[in-house]
Parts: sequence; structure tokens; C-alpha cells
Amino acid sequence: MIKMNKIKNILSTPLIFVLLFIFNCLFTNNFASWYTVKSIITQSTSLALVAVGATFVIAAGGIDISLGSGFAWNAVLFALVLQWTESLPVAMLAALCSAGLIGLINGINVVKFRIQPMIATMAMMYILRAFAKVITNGATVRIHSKWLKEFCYTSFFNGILPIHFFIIIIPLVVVMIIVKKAPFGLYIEACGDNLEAAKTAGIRVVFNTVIAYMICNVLTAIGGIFDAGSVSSADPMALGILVEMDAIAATVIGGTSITGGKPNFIGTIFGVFILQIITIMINMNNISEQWSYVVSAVIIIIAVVIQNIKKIRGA
Amino acid sequence: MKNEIKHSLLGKINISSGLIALIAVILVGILFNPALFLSYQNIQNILRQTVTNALLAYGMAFVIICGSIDLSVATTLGLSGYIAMSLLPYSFPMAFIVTMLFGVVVGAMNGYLIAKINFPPMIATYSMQLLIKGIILVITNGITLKPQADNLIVKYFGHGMVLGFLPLGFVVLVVLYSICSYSLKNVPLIRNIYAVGGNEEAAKMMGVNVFKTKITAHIICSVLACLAGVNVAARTGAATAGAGDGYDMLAIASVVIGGISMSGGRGKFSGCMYGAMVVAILSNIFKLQNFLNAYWERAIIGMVLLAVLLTQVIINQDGLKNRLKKHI
Repeated sequence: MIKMNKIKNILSTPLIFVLLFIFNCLFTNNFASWYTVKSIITQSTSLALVAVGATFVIAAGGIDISLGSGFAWNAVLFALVLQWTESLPVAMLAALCSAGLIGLINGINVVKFRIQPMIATMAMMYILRAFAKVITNGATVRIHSKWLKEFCYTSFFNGILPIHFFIIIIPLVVVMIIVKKAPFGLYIEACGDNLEAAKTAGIRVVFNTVIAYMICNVLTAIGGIFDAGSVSSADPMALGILVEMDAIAATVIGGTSITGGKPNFIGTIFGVFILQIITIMINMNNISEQWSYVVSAVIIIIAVVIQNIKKIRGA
Repeated sequence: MKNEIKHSLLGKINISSGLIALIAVILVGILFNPALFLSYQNIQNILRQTVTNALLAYGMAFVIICGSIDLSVATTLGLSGYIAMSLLPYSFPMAFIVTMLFGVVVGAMNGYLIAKINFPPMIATYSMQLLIKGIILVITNGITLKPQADNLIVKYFGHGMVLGFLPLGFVVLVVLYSICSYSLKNVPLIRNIYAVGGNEEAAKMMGVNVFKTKITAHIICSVLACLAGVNVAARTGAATAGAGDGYDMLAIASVVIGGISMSGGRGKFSGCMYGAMVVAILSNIFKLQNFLNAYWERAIIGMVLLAVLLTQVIINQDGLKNRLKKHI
């Protein structure tokens, strides 16, 4: 019985995705093609990276709304360092280090100083977005890197499988292995479930949660670099706007409890796909883009209601 | 006896952290450029800017004390300004009533999702934000609406003066403040907000109607956001789709700077007034200087927010308290 429940939990989000997909295959012209699947994958890559990171933090009982700004700041930093040094590894390293540092500060503020996660990261959100604008004076920074551009558009098997697929899958598999096999995953879950109990049980609460924040921010930075790399420019104004909210929404649709506890990474990825398929659905049906906000809202509400249906009946 | 006095003194130190921040910010302003900062026109500007911030912060305070949060205030503000301005040419009372009704509907929907369907407050109000944003864009098509200059709301709520020197908006604010803080202490339904925010289960067992209380808090928040929307439209003389962008975070910042606990159930209502003034004065000081470009503003607000939070943590932690106890 318990096993059945577990399977249900894991499958509920993919099921919503499959239903949406079938619905579109039936009612949207030209939807049923490999090209559509490919564009769902390519367009959700950076969001998927951010969302996997956000799932870590949310599972640890926190929340990080500085991700969208961090996304922009790290991409801008990457672009600028690349301009100054003209060396890809150095630029990469600079962006990832700054992301790690941001995660460290956020984590320490939240766990060590016990500031409410939303507020601590909100302050960070302001600071990072402003820094991204200050450092560039609000202008877009161009990225001149042939290698990066080619890397972002590589595809395998005669263009059937884009590199984006692997960029989603590899971090996902690594994270899943860490969570399932290493004690770290268990510690995070314990921190998210009950911080005091975890502390009493001898888990290094501060260390583990800070690591979760750092992983989250580093994944976000990778997403930002990838996003900027694909368009060969980093725009401090537009990059990463509302990415954090989409990531949180994807996490919740994916079945990770927003109050912390067991992370559901596969669910998160499908949550991202659901958000993306809505956008594609709106576009392909020639509905004006403004409606996508309304439809996203309705779908988020429906998804959460479906997941909470047992609770509602109980209450 | 002596202990009690100590405790009350320490209690006061905790409670008025918002006031301390306000005094600090005013001092910074005076030190920075006294002639400019204390000029008649500038004080008028600060009071006007405070109105929008504070209206949102009042509502946010109710919701946060209730243990919830509202991320939809910014878009509610945008749409309500638009509704008010587009209905105003027909009839003033109708415009007012429809706008306030809109607030009630949004608040009730938020409250229903959170209290009845057990939505996480952040997700419920975030999807509401998306929904309203979509509706604004669909209705307005991104076009700015400009009310006529002889428009009643613009004339009085936006630029009207009481006794020749107080902006009418500020007077409305003070009246609302007294109503809010009175009802938080004396009206049972609204007083229950503290109980629900402090411990929902305990409140339920004591016979508090949690559902009703939460919905009330959310309705108050959204209605105040609508008033803020009318205020913004009146002050700027235009209703735009993006009018409220960023105001939600400023409201939360005001509430937190005012010393109201984000975990709910604790905090004095007066705090959010101080917090709103702190945020307004900060951005005002920023506009008076010219050695940092405009992009720094948000960074500085963020840093001040972090600094205030860390100070609060340090004050509330045992360290300083014990040190103070030894001295007193």
C-alpha cells in the first residue's frame, strides 16, 4: 500500500504533463512532432537547472527568491570577465565562485542568523539585480566566444537530440545519486522536516543547509551562463526576470512540499516541462501572449489542488 | 519589581526597532544635505511617497501577522488603478465601489485558496499575481490610461491638501492607521489574526474560526492595495499596466523593517508605518544625491534591509540582551 502511494506521488506530475501533451496532440495543429518535443527541451533548459537547485533549497526548508537576480548577475559577471580576460575557464570559474559565495551568504543569513529565508533572499535579490545593472551601466554585454556558441547549439544523431537534453539530464542524475546514495540527501530532508529534531539528532544543520543553498546558486549560475551563451549576450535588465517564481512553481507542481521535506527532482523537471508546454500551447494556438499568464496561473492552481485532494477531503 | 521594570525597558527596545531605523534614516538625510532634505517641497514629497508604501505595508502587516503572505498586491494595485480611472468619467461613487469590490474579490479568492484548499500562501498569491497580470495586459493591451486633469480623485486624493500643508493622502493614511490599530486590539474577528498567526492549531482549539480570520486578513490586504492603486494613479496622473512593479517587495521590506515577525503572530502594528517611512525616505535621499547612479538604489535598499535584519537578530539574541541587563 505504501509502495502504491509512493508510485502515485512520483507519477502524478508526469501524468499531468502527459495529459497536457495528449490534449495538445489532439487539438493543436502541427503539435504532434519531434520538433515540438525538441523545443520543449531546449526552451526549458535553464529553468530546469534553476528549478533543480530550488528543489534542494525548498526541501531543506528554505526558499531562495534571489535566484532570478543571481541568474542575471552571474551571467553578466561571466560575460564581463570573458571580455576582460578572453579566457573561458577563468570567466566560468569567476561566475561559479561568485554563485557559491552568494549561496554561502544566503545560507548563513538563513540558518546561522535565523532570518526568514524569504526576507534574507529578497534583500539579496535587490542587491544582485542592482549590482548587475551597476556593473554594466544597464547595457547589454556581448559574449564573443565561438566555442560557447557552438557548444550551446550542438546536437547529436543528425540534429535529433540537442545538447540541452544532456544539460538537463546530467545534473539531474548527479543530484539524484547524491540524494539517494549519500547521507547528504537524508540530512537535507531531515533539516526540512524538522530543524530542531535534526539538530538534536546530531546533524550539522548549518553546514548542510548552506551546502544546499550553494548547490542551488551554482546550478542557477550554470543556467544563466548557458542562457546568455545561447544568445551571445548578457542583458542585466531582462535576464532571469521571474525565473525564481517559475522555479518555485515548478517545484511545487512537482510535488515537493513548500514547507520542506522530501525532494522530488523528477517531479520538478516535469513541472518545468508543464510550464513550458503551456507557453508553447498558447503560442501555437495563436492566442496572444498575455493569456499565458492567466493559463499558467490556472494550471498551477489545478496542479496543487490535484496534489492536495486527499488533504482537502480529510479536512 | 525591579525585574519587571527591566523587562518592560527591554521590551520597549525590541518593539521600537522600526522607530530606531526611522530616526537613523532621518539623521542620515539631515547630515547628507540639510537644506535640501528639510525643505518644504521635499517633506511634501516624502509624505506623498509614504502614502503608497504605507497603504500596502498596512495590508501586508495584517497578512504577515496572520502567518501568511501576499505577493499579489503589486498587480492588484496596477489593475485597481486602471479600473478606478476608467470608471471615473461615469460616476465617482461607482468607480470607488467597484474598485473596492475588486479588492474584496481578490482577497477572498486568496483567502479561500489558502485557508480552505490549504495552498501554500506564496504559491496561491503568486498564481493570483500571474492571473491579475494576465487580465491587466489583456484588458489594457499595454496602453496607458490618462485621466482628465479635473478628475475628482486626481484633484483631491493625488494633489489635495488639508490645512494648506498636509497632503490629503497622508491624512487618509493617519485615519486608516488609527482604525487599523484600534481594530487589531479591540475587534474580536481582527484581533484573532494574532492568535491564528501565532499558532493556528491552538487558535482552532480555542474556537477561533481560522478560515474566517484568514479570509478577513486577506480581504483587508487587497482592499488596501486597491486604495494604494487609486493613490498611485492619482499621484502620477496615469494608470499603467506596470504601475505596481516592485511595490510588493517594498511593502514586505517595510513590514520587516518595522519589526513585525515574518513567522506571524508577533509585532506591533505601528512598526509598519515606521518601516514604510524608512523605505520612502531612503529612496528620497537617494534621489537627492548625484554621485551614485540610479541603479544603486535597489542595492542600497537591499543592504539596509539586511543590516536592519542582522541588527534585529543581534538585539533579540541573548548576547546584547544580557549585556543590557547587566547595565540596567
